[in-house]
Amino acid sequence: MTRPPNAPRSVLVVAALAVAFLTLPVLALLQRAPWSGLVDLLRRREVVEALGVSLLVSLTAAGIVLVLGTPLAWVLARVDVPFRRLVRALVVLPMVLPPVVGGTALLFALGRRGLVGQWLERWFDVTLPFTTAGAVVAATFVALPFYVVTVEGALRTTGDHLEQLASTLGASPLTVLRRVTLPRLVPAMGAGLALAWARALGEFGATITFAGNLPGRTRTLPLATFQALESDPEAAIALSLVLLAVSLAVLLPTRDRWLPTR
Amino acid sequence: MWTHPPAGATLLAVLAWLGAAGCTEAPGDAALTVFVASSLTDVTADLADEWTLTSGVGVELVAGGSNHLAAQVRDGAPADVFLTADAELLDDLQHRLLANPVTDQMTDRVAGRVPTVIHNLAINHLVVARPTAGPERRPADLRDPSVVLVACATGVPCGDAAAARFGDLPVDSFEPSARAVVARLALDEADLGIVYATDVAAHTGLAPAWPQEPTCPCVTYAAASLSPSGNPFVAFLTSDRARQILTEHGFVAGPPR
Amino acid sequence: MTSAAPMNPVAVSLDGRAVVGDLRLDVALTVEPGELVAVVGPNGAGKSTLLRLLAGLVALDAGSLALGGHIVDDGTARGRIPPHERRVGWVPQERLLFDHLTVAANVGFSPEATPARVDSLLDALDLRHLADHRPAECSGGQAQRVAVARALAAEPDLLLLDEPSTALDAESRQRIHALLGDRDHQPATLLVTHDPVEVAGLADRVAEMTAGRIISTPPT
Repeated sequence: MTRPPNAPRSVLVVAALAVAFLTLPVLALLQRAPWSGLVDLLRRREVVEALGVSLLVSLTAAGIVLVLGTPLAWVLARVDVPFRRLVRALVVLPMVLPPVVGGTALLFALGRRGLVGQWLERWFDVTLPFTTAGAVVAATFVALPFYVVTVEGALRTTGDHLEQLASTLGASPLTVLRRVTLPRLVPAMGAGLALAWARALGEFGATITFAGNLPGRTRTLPLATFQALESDPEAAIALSLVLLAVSLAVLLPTRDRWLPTR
Repeated sequence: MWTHPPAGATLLAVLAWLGAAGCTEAPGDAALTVFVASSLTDVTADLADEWTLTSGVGVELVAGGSNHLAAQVRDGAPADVFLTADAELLDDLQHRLLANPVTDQMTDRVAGRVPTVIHNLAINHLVVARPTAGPERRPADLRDPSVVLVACATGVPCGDAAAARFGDLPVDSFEPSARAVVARLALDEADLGIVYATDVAAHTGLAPAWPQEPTCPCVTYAAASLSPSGNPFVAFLTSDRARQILTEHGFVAGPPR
Repeated sequence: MTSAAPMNPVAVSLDGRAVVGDLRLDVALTVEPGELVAVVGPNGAGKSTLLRLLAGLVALDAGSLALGGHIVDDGTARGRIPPHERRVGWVPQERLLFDHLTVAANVGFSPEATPARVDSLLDALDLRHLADHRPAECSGGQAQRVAVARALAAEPDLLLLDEPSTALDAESRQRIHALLGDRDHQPATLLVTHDPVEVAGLADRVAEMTAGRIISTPPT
């Protein structure tokens, strides 16, 4: 490890404390894990089921985030929209809103008697609460801001000079997007997507409030863990380990830099 | 400028105040900490008010899911009284406390007093409820998969009781508490929900889905004092006045002691 | 590409009311195809702004800009022809090569660029050996040639060069001059420069610009 010549010892010490603070709960979890019976625990139906629901919900949410979030990030970074600050604040709101509040708000909006939800039911016979689609909606709601913030940040940092030059060469705005903006944005999109997916995977409050809790349909790993804590703490630890492993598997390869410079 | 009352009385008062401040907490002076299962929150608040009126001791309520509260007590949270629907939990707690007594317990055991446990404090029947604004229902709707049914999760007292009474049902969501089920019904986001009789009594937004007789399997509440200061309060819970309050809220009060 | 007729010769005309920010522009200039006009003047005179305006990257706040007799910017959003519809090539000082593409892909980026034209430019500028390399692997002089080749491949009616030789070594500068000096098949060119050698060697005419106004255009 190379230390920059002027790294003050005090700074290193505090940084080490911060790392210890963040990793201590994880270490405690690993220490409590029932390693001997772990394989059997992991093979239990409720664990496999919850994992399946979690993967389906989080990956679908990630896909929606990609499709909805990229144009939004681009518009926020490049277009002079009126009330841009307000729009940006609203976009970031789900990040700071307590998830249960978010879930309740979703219920008021998209529930059976919700502002928009009642029309969904009346005209299209579509209900979202208590369905896997509802869990996807909840996960997307909380995860989308993470992606938008990452990608918008990247767009703002790199600026639009290349895009400007491309237009002088005769490329239409759509061509510029396709051949200049997006190829260069891929690293930031990947980083943003990883972050958003991890958030969707860990979502609890909005999911349980909006989509409910049913094995095989809406009971994701976090919900299953919460329930297992009541009756079966060993299963809860096993579920937590699964969540931990899946999260690490995705975050480790993608988190070398917070915001790729290229 | 000294005005009457005479200096002697003033001095006495000051000394008494100093004396009281100098002592460590004597039982009955500090507020009681009462852990209460969430479905008992409202009634316990009224009981606590009544208790404070008569005894002069304040009460601090901590509400939550029975299992979570029990876990906190096991980890050493300073609860004086614990009200819960899960009697097993209390027995378990009691055994642990007697095995690893807190210092106060030791003193009390030596003095001949042990923590009081009262089973059968009150009974809460289960009711299949519907939103008041919703259509009338029939018992067959309970097993109808197209009807949106919510119930408490197993592991939570109302969920265990519902499972014991109704068996396997096409539930659409297992909520973490009876309150959450009530919320779904109150918002008309569910057609049917298995809640407590007290919930139906307390909420105008909920109504019995069809005429139902109170039957068991149902939920029985128990109370335990976890420290000597809790004993008087627990004793109060079986008094006539307390039983009256319980009944007013829709519980079936247990036998008087 | 667009309905705008080829501007040939290119008459650049900014009426006296043309304003960009706090710069008032007053330019009336005609450049023949194949002619190179050097634009000189003190810093802050508005030379770079003028180029960006002609390219369509900067909008007029007031007044109008006409290229080849057609109004391309009348001070309103609606009356402004966007850059991709003007046949104006622009090589900025920073070059702005696409670093995610190869040199060949850079040169051939424009929808107007034909493979034949790209090939001939790569050869003419001695860039063939770099065709599959990335711009990051090119030296300053090579990158400059790529930038010019890229603009030329789009066959613009008007080519704008903003200080292309600044910060280049002598040899690279010579090569650029050799390219620009070859008058056959060259578009009308405006070259912003501080280098008197460049002016003397390349320019057919000189336009002196001060505070937004072109005050004279004597031939060299």
